[in-house]
Amino acid sequence: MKLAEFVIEDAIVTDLTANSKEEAIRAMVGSLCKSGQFASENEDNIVAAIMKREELGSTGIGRGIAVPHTKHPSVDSLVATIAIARDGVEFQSLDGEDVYILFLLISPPDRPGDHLRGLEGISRHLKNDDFCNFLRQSKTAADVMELLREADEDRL
Amino acid sequence: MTSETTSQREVTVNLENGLHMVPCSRIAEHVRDFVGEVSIHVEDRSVDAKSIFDLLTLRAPFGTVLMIEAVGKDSEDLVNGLATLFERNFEPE
Repeated sequence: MKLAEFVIEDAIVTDLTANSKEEAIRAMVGSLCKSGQFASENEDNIVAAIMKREELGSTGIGRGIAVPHTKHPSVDSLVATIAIARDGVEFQSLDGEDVYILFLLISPPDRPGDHLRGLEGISRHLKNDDFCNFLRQSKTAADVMELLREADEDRL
Repeated sequence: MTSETTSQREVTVNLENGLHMVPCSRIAEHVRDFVGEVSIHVEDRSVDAKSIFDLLTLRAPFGTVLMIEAVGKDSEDLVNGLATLFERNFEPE
């Protein structure tokens, strides 16, 4: 699944500052809400669902990367946003390090295949150091989208 | 003298949502301290089971048959332990 197909450009945050995991997740969910992906009445519920998922084990999977996610009926297709935290966020990551790149995913409950394909697409590129370095250097949402398109087309 | 052995075992993904991030984390955690190589194969693809990033690229939905392969000392114990994780559907003991 191509990243540019489900990452919402208007919801990308390239200057995230957050003092906690919950603050980071709340900011990203808020940004997706503002971009019109779901009604604002769902915002608190989605944040709570993502935090509940974090209790099963942190989605801070190492290399300065976190992929918080949940299923939620308020979306009818997989949607995601990206945040870049220049100062890092403490995320109880598996390797104990702060996270600098966050991919947040919300998928419809009845589409587990889409969620797996989204995770695959993200992980495949996050294994690439150049992709991570360029992502951390991106200053605007447009820069991030250009990078995603390059990655999707294997031009990195 | 320690003997390097290769062990293989076939497992099936019985998780309704497929091999998502929680089970991938459990696999990586289980094999982390194994001295040797552990790979998981599906069709023509193969990933390093010590890397959660690699595991997440497996994209294995419910019903997928995977082949686990370990090379190193006590490789049989390792693949059997991993197979047990799959059989328990990654629930704690």
